[in-house]
Amino acid sequence: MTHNILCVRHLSKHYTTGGARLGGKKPSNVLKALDDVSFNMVRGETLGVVGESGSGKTTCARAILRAIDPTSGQVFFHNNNRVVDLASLSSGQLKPLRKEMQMIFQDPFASLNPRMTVGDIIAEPLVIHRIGTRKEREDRVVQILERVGLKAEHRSRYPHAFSGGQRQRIGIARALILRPAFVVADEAVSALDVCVRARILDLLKELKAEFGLSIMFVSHDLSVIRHICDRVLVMYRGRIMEMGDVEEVFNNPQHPYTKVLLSAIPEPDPDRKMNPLTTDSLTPDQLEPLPTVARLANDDPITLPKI
Amino acid sequence: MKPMTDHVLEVRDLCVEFTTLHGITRAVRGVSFDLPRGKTLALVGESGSGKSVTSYSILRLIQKPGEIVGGQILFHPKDGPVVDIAQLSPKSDELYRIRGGKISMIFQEPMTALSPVHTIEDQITEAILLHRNVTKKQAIDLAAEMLEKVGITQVQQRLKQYPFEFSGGMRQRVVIAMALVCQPEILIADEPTTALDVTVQAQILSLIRHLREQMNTSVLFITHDLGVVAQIADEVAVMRYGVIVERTSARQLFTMPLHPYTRELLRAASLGRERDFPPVQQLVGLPDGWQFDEPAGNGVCQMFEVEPGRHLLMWKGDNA
Ligand SMILES: Nc1ncnc2c1ncn2[C@@H]1O[C@H](COP(=O)(O)OP(=O)(O)O)[C@@H](O)[C@H]1O
Ligand SMILES: Nc1ncnc2c1ncn2[C@@H]1O[C@H](COP(=O)(O)OP(=O)(O)O)[C@@H](O)[C@H]1O
Ligand SMILES: [Mg+2]
Ligand SMILES: [Mg+2]
Repeated sequence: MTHNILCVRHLSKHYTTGGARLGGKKPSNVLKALDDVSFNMVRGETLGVVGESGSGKTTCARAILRAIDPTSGQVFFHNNNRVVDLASLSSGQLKPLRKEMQMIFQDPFASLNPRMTVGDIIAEPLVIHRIGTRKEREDRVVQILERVGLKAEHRSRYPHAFSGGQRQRIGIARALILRPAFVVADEAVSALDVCVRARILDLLKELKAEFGLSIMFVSHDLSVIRHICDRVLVMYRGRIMEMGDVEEVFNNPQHPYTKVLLSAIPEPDPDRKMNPLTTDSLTPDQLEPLPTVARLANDDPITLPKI
Repeated sequence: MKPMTDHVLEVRDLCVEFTTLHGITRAVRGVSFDLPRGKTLALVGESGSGKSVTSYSILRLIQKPGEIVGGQILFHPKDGPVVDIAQLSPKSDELYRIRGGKISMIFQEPMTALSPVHTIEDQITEAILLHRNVTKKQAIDLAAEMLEKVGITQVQQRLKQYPFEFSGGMRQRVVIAMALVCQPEILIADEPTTALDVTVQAQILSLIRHLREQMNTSVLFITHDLGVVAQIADEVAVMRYGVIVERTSARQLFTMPLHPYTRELLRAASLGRERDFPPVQQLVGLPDGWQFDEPAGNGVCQMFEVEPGRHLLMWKGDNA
């Protein structure tokens, strides 16, 4: 028996930039947005993915969910006593699995039709997967709306009429209406004011327990990661430098890059003035993944050892 | 007579309104604070609380449909008489001399202050020539010297480059160099690190701290992040809905916040670390008949100095 919901092995996403791609003569450059990433995710945990902008966090999340096609690697997803490699499935094979995997974005409406009402937005996943009658769908929408702290009458309104925190509640409702097993939250609270942010984080914690979710929580904000995650992956230039229990990583970082990152957190305490380190003084050797991280890549995903 | 504390800026009852199709928005509704000379005052609050409008007002950068409808912005230059910036004519020479000369400003997005089509050298020297009586050659030397001060290497080469050739953090350094090259008495920084990665933010904050000491500039630092406030500020003013609700030293604010809203902010910023505070009535005397919450109808508000250097905003209903 395994506790892992996800075993990612050697996952990479390369982008070709300039030159040949555009039919030019210049040799093209390969940008390794995600570079041979391997990790396990334990069922029911909140796994943080932290790193600076451009470190590959979003690419990692999107490659796992097949919102983009990875260049290489495997994503073993364990659900309903089955193991599938998401990276190798066709889009037809993926469709039924998509019910189990949802995403919460920084701006939940950026990619949606602004003329959809809140009710339509939340019900859309049900419609796409042909779940329930009209009436049943409506009932589920009301139920989830109330669960995320909104009201039934909000159904007929448009998203622009809502504050940032309320919009994020709508985004969460849409992500959870299918009762997924696995949710990715990508910078879900990054645009919110602190007080609202604290309330949305509390809501996510409650919902996670109630729905038995496994959450991959992507954020550049270290204090948010520390607050909400059980374990954390620290990314730098498309690779995982360090991973482990969140308190352990924060209290006793092993990787020099993690130390740089943590030294830059502005603590809300004037007696703890930061003394920021920089990556400038680090040699390329020091910016290699920790041996424990590198070793995990060779662990058999079926025996699934817990890291 | 010299005042007891030396303030480089005193803002008094500043009111700013925007007239839109939907009516009048009172973005800033009577804001008062002092910026002590050589110190950093942080203006902190959530988005929409009126921080930017307040800071733009100080340089008279508020544009239609916005308007300063009341209050004083008293600037006390090192040498020279006090000026009420709120009273200056928008096109006056005096305002131009102050803006970018004696008081300069940096923004969240460095490109606000940079032109994409001019070299860094052209842009910094232009700022110098506008405000200082030097030759072009001297201006270039000053620009190079300032770039070095903000931690840019290979300055001679960098001067010839365009903003797009710099990373976000390096651009913000260039903007800081441009803002400080005329040795302003006040630097207004409106969320200058909000768009940057934490590691870059940490470096920019150290840089501002260091330059402030070296150049004896007073800083008005605007941010929504209490972590940043703790790192940079001597004094803090907490803004909400266009008013300042609490004003005190940074140390006092973080050890014992008094206003319920400040406490809420601090709890939210200290994620995961429980912070309990005793009831404010046990800590300081509060004026009778006044409350922290703004009354629903018309109300009047007033700042009370509940302890030396410690001000709280309180409200009273009109009918009270
Ligand atoms: N569609 C794309 N084409 C080319 N490069 C991309 C694309 N998407 C992302 N990248 C690059 O991949 C790197 C990682 O990006 P991303 O995963 O978005 O980082 P993060 O989410 O950590 O900020 C960045 O350098 C980014 O510019
Ligand atoms: N150009 C404008 N037109 C209309 N209202 C504005 C404009 N700029 C600012 N406001 C109003 O002023 C308030 C305060 O804005 P601002 O000072 O930018 O907030 P902050 O910087 O604290 O986030 C806003 O909530 C908005 O109502
Ligand atoms: Mg991202
Ligand atoms: Mg602002």
